[in-house]
Amino acid sequence: MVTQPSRSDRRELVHERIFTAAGVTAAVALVTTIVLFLLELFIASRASRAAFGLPFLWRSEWNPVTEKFGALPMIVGTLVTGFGALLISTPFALGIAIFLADYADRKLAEPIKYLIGLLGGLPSVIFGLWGLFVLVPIVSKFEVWFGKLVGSEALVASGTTGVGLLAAILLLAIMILPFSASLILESLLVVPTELKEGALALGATKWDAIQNVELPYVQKSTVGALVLSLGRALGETMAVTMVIGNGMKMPTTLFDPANTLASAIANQFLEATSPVYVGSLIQLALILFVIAIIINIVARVILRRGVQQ
Amino acid sequence: MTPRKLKNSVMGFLVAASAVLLIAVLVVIVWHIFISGVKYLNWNFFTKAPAPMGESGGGVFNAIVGTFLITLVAAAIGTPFGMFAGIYVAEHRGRRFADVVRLCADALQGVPSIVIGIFGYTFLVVRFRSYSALSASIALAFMFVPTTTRVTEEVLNLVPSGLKEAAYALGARQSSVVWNVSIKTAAAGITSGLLTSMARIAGETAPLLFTAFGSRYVEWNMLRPMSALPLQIFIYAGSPYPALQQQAWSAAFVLVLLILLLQYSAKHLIARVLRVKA
Amino acid sequence: MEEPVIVLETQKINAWFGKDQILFDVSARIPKNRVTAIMGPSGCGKTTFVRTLNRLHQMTPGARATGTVLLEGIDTSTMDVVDVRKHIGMVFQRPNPFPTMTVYENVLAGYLLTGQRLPRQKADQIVETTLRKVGLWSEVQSKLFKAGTSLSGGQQQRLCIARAIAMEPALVLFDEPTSALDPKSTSVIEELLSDLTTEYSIIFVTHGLQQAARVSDYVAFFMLGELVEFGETKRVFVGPQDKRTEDYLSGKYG
Repeated sequence: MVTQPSRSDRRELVHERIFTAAGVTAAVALVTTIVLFLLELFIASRASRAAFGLPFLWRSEWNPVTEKFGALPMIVGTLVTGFGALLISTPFALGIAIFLADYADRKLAEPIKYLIGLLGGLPSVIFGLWGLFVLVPIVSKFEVWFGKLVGSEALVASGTTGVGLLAAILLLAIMILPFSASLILESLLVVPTELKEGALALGATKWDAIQNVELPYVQKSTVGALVLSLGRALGETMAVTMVIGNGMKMPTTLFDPANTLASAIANQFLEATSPVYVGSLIQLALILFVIAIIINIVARVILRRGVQQ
Repeated sequence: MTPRKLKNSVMGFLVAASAVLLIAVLVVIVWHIFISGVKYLNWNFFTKAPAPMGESGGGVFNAIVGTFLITLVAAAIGTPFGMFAGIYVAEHRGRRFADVVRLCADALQGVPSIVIGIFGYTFLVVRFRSYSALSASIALAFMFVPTTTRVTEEVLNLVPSGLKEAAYALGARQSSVVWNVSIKTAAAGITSGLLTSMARIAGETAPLLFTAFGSRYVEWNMLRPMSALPLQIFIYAGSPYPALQQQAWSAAFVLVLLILLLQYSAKHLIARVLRVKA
Repeated sequence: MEEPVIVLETQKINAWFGKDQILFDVSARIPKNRVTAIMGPSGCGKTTFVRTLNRLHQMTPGARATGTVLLEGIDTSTMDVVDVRKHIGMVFQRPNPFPTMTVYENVLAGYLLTGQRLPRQKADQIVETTLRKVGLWSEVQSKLFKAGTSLSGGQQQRLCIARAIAMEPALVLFDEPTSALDPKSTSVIEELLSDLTTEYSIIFVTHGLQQAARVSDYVAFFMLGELVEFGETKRVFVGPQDKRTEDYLSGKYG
């Protein structure tokens, strides 16, 4: 009954070993990638650290001519555009998610969900193109009007181009909207209907049920979704690059041209020739990488807790 | 009307309004791409490389070729890594290392594309001492792998455990069960995931800036600089010549069509999977 | 009745899911070429017991088992698990033909999935004889190259039986194979069992007393993870020796 291993058995055993090895290799490679990124960016940016050390993080001068580099203007630009976009898009994202979860019937919800997917799938560079030729002229008109309204020539002057923080914030807000809306919708859809129906049965209005039952239920996962969206916004490159104006100075108003960590790299890397300049831009990439990894891990942990709850 | 009922109506109006606004924004963007894109389309646009500086006419055939080559090679490099990592995570559910791999895949999905581009430059271009389409494909593969890993895992988890058990009960080894039962059963879902990931990397610009670099010529050699549609859009959009800006819109139109086609095929496949399940 | 030949013997099988112990010292001797029914209230460990025999139980994360299983006198722990499963076939609660395979391929699935290549003639012959054994040949002769999942539920389950016996196993485990089927399909499968015993030994898990009485030659009664009583079906049903069996047969546990 117990037979000698046949040729086919041996072949299967070989398959099994190759298969196991491939799985482990790929899994290890994926984990190693993160370490590899860190190492590579760290080593490639050493010229910048040698020149500026840790103060690179909070120095506000970024001058390619004198070769003095500090990351603060880009860090500020990144945070202002990221949080600004999140602030603007969150109410809409919540509204859309609630509309799709509680108000729209299937016939209406499905095509809207499809459109959200479509908007989310458009490449960054296309948002940039649209932003540059459609949004920026509108922003410029608004900025000039606003500058005249408050009687500030400086605002009018920086507003005439239209490029700058405000344009970047608005464009980013549009770009992360489909992302955060669909993430929030996902968590809304797992709220047990009995809970909502329970509230309705007690005489609550639809909005009472949403506000007091549904939203508290998805609090954690909504925060997770927003943190993930923030991560997206902070790292978004091409669209921001095309409308933010590549300003080297620390921005003082929302109308000023500025840079984010990502847009500074995209705008300047090919022009950078000296090792210190290149190293400083790579250092920006390293900062951005670390921020992105931390934000993503934090968001996933929050989301996972939200689901378990 | 009581205050509560009033609030109910107002909030209902507001959530509906935000949905309307989203649709409006989308319609405006798509309308611009369509109108501005179609206006300047002609046969040369699809078949000719850019005209020499100062001359009119020409097209983006170089970028179309580049987008296809770079995307396909990136997918070819990334697919085995992504699929095997996904298989690993799905087959070792509950083990700590599998959780670590899943978390890393999630984290990598969130790495900004410009960081991938810089990494591609320092890791590949500097070492090869040349910009090349291949380094662009490898950079994009770093974006392709984590999405493929997650999709593969998710789709494999949908394979009914009864099927796998039936295969094991017949004396099949794990490799055989995964290949001949799980992967085959989930084939449409995995293909759909691969197409979605391809749609995503086909539109990426930042990872190409310092790797593929761009080229004015129709280039088939992966070891040389090459153009791609997103790259061409970025360059033309920043150009001061209206003729080139118009070509940027047309290129955007073509790129969106390509991405929609990939997404549509992916959706179609998913629909088929769901029908089989039902 | 003379002492039957034993195809499979278990000695002190214990099984756990995490910290919960499911089986307690189960020792049983399964007769060759007979149908042995495993019965008992739900949650008594019937399914776990049969799944420890082909070591499917141990595949669930956190599940483990101890004890000895002798298959035709050979300790299965000395065998490659893959060989154990080739010699012990299994039919599951729900029909689960492979959706990516045709009827023909489903019959040969055991060979295909273990990398055994069959000459065309041999393959044709196995498919026909096996499908005849489960009474499916005349019904699916013209559908051999259609998807296995295109058949009716009852036909699918007989296809799964064919898939198991095509490997010529020493023993076939049936884990409540009719629980998802209509009465007519159920009776077709029940009638099939006695034909199959001319060549195969069968363990048949069921939670239906009537079904156990109809189909089995021997019966093992499980309760709370223990093997309470084992014997010839007629004897156990007429004169149970254990109080718990008697109570169960008289409907006290539902």
